Amino acid sequence: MDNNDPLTPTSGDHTPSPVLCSATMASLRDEGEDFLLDLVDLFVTETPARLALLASALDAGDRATAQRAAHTLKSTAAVFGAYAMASVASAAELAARAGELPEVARLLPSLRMITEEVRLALLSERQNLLSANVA
Amino acid sequence: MRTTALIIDDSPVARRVIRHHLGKFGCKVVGEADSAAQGMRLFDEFKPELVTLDLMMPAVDGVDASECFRAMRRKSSEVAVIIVSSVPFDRTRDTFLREGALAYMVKPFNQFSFEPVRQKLIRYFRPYAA
Repeated sequence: MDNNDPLTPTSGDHTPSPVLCSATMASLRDEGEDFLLDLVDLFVTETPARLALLASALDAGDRATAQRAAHTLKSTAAVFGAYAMASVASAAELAARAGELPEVARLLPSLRMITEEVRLALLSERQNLLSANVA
Repeated sequence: MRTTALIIDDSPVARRVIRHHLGKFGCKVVGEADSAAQGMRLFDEFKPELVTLDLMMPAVDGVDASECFRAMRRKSSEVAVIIVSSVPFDRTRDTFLREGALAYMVKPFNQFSFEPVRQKLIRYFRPYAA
């Protein structure tokens, strides 16, 4: 398949993304393409639900649910080496555990933004894999 | 016969990674739980030979991972439990190993995380193949 779109990564192009750890992504790639595609799909489908759960927990003043949602986001980010996302999620988890829900609310926009950056980086990775398959 | 396994981890992505590696070791994953409380229920239902347990999961229904670990060990001293944790402290690791955990694996996962676990699984479940 010809790829003339300059915004679409070319096949075999695995330029490290600043939001994902390149070594971690390389080790995931080594485990197989279908496996990595599964992980990306899980991230794309799961994280919006966790962010929504975190937001609704804040609205309800439910500190335990907020803590769990932030913890899951942290664990999920770490699998891809998305350490900046993991760090913000970890701060939100700690704040929720301490009962500091206003602090969690303050962190939520940053967490949303960085989660979106990770999502886009993973979708780019997905595109790379699929393009390599077609080529 | 394949070793039956239960994965307890709140992150579906982390569970998928663990499932992948257990599959490579020849294990059959019979259940997945997203909390220690659900894990204990599935442990009673499936009686797996191997459990991976995320140590740092927040408690649900008043049950945390440490309690889950101890309850499973009380019910079956034979069950092999792999503690999965983002806490790399020696003291925490030593405590769980002393209490009978088969292995203590530190997150985040990388290409080196699973090899020591694989070696321990071979020694535990297939001692004559090692």
